[in-house]
Amino acid sequence: MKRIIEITKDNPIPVLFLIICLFGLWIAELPLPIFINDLIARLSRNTFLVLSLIIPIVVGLGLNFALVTGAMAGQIGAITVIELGIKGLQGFLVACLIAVPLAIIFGYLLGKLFNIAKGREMITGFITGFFANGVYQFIFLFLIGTALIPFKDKTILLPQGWGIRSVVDLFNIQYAIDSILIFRIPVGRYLLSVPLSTFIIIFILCLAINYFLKTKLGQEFKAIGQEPHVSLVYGINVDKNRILATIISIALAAIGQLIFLQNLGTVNTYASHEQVALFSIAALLVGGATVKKATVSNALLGVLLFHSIFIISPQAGQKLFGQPQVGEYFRVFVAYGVIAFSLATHTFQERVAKK
Amino acid sequence: MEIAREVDKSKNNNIKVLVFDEPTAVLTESEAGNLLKILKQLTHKGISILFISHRLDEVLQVSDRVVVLRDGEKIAEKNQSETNIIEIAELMVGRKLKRLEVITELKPQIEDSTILKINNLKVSMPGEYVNGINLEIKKGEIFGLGGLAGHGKVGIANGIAGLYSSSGEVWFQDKPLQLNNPYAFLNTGLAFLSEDRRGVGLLLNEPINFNICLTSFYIKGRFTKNLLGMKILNQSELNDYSKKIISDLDIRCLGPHQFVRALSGGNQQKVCIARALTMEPKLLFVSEPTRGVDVGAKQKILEVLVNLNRRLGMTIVFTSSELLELRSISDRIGIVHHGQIADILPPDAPDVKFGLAMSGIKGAVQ
Amino acid sequence: MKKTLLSLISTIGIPRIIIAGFLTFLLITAFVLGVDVNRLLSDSLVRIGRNGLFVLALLPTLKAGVGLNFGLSLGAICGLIGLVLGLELGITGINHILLALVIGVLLAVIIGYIYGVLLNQTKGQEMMVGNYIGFATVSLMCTFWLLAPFRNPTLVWAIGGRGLRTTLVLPGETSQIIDNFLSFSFFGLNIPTGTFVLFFLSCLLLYFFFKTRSGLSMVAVGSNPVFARASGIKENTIRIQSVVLSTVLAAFGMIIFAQSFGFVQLYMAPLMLPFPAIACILIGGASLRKATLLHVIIGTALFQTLLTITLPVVTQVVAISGEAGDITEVLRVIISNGLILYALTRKGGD
Repeated sequence: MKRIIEITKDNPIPVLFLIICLFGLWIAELPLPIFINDLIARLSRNTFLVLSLIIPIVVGLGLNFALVTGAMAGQIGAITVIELGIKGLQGFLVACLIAVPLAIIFGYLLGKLFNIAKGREMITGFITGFFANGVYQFIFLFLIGTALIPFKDKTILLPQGWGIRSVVDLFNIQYAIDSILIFRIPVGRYLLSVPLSTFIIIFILCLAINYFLKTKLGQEFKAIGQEPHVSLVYGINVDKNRILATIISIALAAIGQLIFLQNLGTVNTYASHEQVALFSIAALLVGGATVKKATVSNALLGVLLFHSIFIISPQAGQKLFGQPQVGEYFRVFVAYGVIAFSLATHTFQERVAKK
Repeated sequence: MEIAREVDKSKNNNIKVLVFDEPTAVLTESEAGNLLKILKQLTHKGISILFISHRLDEVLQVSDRVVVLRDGEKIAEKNQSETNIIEIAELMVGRKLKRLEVITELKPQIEDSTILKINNLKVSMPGEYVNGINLEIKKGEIFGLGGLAGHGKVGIANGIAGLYSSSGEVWFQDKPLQLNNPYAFLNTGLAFLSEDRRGVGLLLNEPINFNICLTSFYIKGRFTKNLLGMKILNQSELNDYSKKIISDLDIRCLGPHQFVRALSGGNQQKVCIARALTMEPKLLFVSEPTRGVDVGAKQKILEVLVNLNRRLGMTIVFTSSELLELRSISDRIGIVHHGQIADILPPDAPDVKFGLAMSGIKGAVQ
Repeated sequence: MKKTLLSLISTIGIPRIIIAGFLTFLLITAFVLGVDVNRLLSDSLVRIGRNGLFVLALLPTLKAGVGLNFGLSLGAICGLIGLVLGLELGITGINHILLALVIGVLLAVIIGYIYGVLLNQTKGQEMMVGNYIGFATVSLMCTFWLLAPFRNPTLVWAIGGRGLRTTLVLPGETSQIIDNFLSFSFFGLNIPTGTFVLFFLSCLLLYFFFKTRSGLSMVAVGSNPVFARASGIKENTIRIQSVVLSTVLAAFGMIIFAQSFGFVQLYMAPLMLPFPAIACILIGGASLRKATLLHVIIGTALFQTLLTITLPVVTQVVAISGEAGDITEVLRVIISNGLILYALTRKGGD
């Protein structure tokens, strides 16, 4: 009992959401295998994206609300691969080869922007996300298929001959990673499918992040995050490292979005990426991370809890209020609410610490 | 502790030169004594040490050679055996310089009554140490406050003005003054010219007239007119007043609507003074009014202060790091050392006394 | 003569003169292409009147140094509650507006106060925190619209009889009641007089407010909080006052917007409401450090006209069909967020 209280004290937010989850599970009366199957799929889809948030937090940039730019790079890669007509794992790898350099460029520009707007990185990233989305829409709706950006594959263009359709089938790279090594476990009437290969990639990324943070560069990142002024005195190039951290984050997000898309098998050209930052950040925070501190375990726990709530809430809303929309609105509220709460408590604590 | 760790590191790391900048400021006396012993031992191991301190006795105790710096210039270099504490104190203050001639034909009208009484004032202000100031200011005098940087002379006025949290007792005209409350401070008839002109004293992105009027508009309701029962700013009255005070104080500007940011340091300072004057205070705290100001404006600012004192009978508490200007216009000068008043001296006291007071030794030497 | 012209140009600012020039160019193109220019201008005027108060609502927090109020939707929600309550009770016409105003403003004072206290605790990150508080409140209110015990059959979903519809139609007596007040035609232009008068009255009131003790303290706090404190001004109280004022104006703005629009949009509709308003004040020449009434008026006029007349002209020129997606919508996103980004990354926020 004492231990439970201690854990609650140290991790109030994860414990709170664990309680909400358990309560929701009890209310929703969802068949457990269905729930678990859904959860596994969501874990394999989203964890990589959430992990891409850790490095910028370590270096003191806060929550990377501009994750959208990485997701866009991923989507550009995915759609280019359709145009090129490359299939399967090869197609996925080519998509990565296109997406990652783009993401590096985006990350570099974003990092520069963050350095100009020091102290306002988060709101700057947030607005950059919207801005980039506008440019992305402009290119995909009005430029692709015209003389400026010619496009052969007419099947994914809008009827008028230019602009990408709002839903594009990604059959060529669907399950490109998942299907390398997949386990299907029968549980009663249901079949659980576990894309082990995807989880192995996620596991490798976790190890890589933890290893990276122990290297000299990782230590420098930590130092910058904790004591930017002292770091400067010790001769660490703060600005350069902040740009580097942004690049890493955006590049990882690009790959993360591709993993997300290969599992879904379709891409909502104008919507799939929009909520990436929101849901990834919310998941990380639910896992107990803060604006200043985030670990791999925060990310893993957060994805688990946040997506459990995601699966459960419509059903729970139906059971509690007779309306599934209540649950849908509730989960959006959870996402926004946990971010608002974290930002507020973080700034509040910073101010108290200063005094 | 931290110092011990650094010293320890140096033993292992083959370091040849160590720099200590005021290492004893944070230590107790016995700790400081220990540190000095360790430093001596280190020199025997062939490590050179640069020891920076304001405590003259320590310097003489530990150093082989002593260099005196003043206003960014090297004044003298002496071997430890060839000098003594009095000589260093004199060098530190600089006896050769002449007093600024502040022209005034009027004599100060100092009364015997105490206008401000400070009892055990403590202020927590970063970089300043005010730890139990006791002081009595007489009505009608210009009281100078001097001392080395960081010893608390600047913190006194900031604390009383309510800008930093403070404790203790302050009486103004025999009535207790509420501390930590800038409104009460101003409303009682006091005013404060901050040493941080751009940070505290001015609204850089607002015009001159707005800067001048805001405090008295807010506190005293000056420059108001009625509009449907609302009290609003009377722009024309303000403009007339601003024009007058701009010419009175000789503020070089394009007019009352010019933004303060565009003015030179000296003229910005005059805007601050104008704002304080508009409050019509009975007692004015002035901190470092001539810092970052060119020579001509410096003279003018000092003259303004003296004139305020002589013509309007305004009591002034004048804080400055330039001993010279303190001695030019003050009637009495309090030297602050380590958060307390070390000595109160007349402006024509010998340099040695000032130097010694600054390092915490009260006028023992004749 | 030349000097006054130059000083006029510098007050308005080169960027705004360029935009105005671009607008004139668009209008001439429209005229040449045979687009109904009068209609375009009438529509622009309606939209200026509709959105003006939201932009005005941004002024107090900018003046007080709290920054761009990304939580404008909080005030809008207060206005929405007032409007919906009127609908539920079946009150129409000017009484509906008045009831909505009383309820909306009362709620806005309370909500604004709480919001202001919160923003004081999170100094330095007000914009981000305000933004997410706004988002969270909008999504929380969704469950309220769904679950609150509204009974009026014209408001709730036909099936199930529970939960408000996403879009509520205002009855004819309420709809455009202020727009049409003293409305007249001028060379074929319909002028929504009532709304304009209200907007300019609000501007005038704010103009005088910024000359009172509270108003000037707001300017001082925004310009230099330490100076303000040294002058005996209570920084935190003033900041809360600015947030309350902003929230109240937003509630007021929502009511004016709805009566002009003729519909009340619920659920996620207020989510992105602050962004176009913010774009307006920034295009008007405001920055994080300096904002004036002139910025509000010029910005609203320019930005809303730009949005209204771009689409018809562009569709005429490029012949983009409607299903290709709304190019003005995309341009709006790029322009408004580009402007905010520019304001955020200007050196020192000047």
